[in-house]
Amino acid sequence: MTHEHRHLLAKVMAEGFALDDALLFLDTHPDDEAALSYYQERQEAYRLAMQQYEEACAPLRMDALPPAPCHIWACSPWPWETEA
Amino acid sequence: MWRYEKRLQYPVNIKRPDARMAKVIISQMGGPDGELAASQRYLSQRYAMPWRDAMAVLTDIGTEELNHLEIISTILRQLTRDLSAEDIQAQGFADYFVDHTTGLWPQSAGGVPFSAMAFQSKGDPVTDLHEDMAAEQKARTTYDNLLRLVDDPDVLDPLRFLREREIVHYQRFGEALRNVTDRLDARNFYQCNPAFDP
Repeated sequence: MTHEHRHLLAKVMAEGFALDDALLFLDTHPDDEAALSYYQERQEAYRLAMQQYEEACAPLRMDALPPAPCHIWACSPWPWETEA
Repeated sequence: MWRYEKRLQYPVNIKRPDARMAKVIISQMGGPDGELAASQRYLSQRYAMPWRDAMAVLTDIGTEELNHLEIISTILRQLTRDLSAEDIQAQGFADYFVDHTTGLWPQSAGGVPFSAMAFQSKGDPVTDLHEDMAAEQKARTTYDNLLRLVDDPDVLDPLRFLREREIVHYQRFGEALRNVTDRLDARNFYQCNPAFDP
């Protein structure tokens, strides 16, 4: 994975985590307006980070695989692999 | 239902394999207070919850615990790659290796296989949420212990993230308990089981 790809993946992880954490807070504070609008902002940031990564590297989700010469869902690196 | 995102919730890049660390970290995979136990506890309890906010907390934290199980499994895999038979002996990994090679099998550091005996799903929201708060503290203490035993910064980093999440989950379960008790008779929370009694 190139440095640029690593950076794009790190962004996806960071934005995804912000959403995960905001969601948990909203589960116990469903009427908190600041949390609701924070969630909306992060959702857009996450969507963008995901789009940038998937366009540059490989799909992270199985439900919108692009046309590719191989079955890229299986062939692209898996999260636990190290670069040998 | 679950779909899969082909990434970790938090990055793991361990440069130096070392089975000694894997021997103790495996408790957060298959041990009594580990991520597998946590995920199965919460995902089992959610069905009997009488209120949707509680269903949401248990589903969403349960899902995050599956993500954490994946992080721990990744740490274990990266720590046990490229080992020779000599490494395995020298690093005290032979007992596990005999039965599992360097495959992952859920057990505690002491060799106790994962079991549903590690958790309860009691079908009573007050009881279950207390179980969950205790579970998060047990997990946090386990991470505290691991942080004392591990010295590789590549391993310390994801372990610190996971420890911090236990504290946040504890907070959320405490809030969920308060939301539940707010709905009960303030004179006697135990008058009935809202998950069962009409």
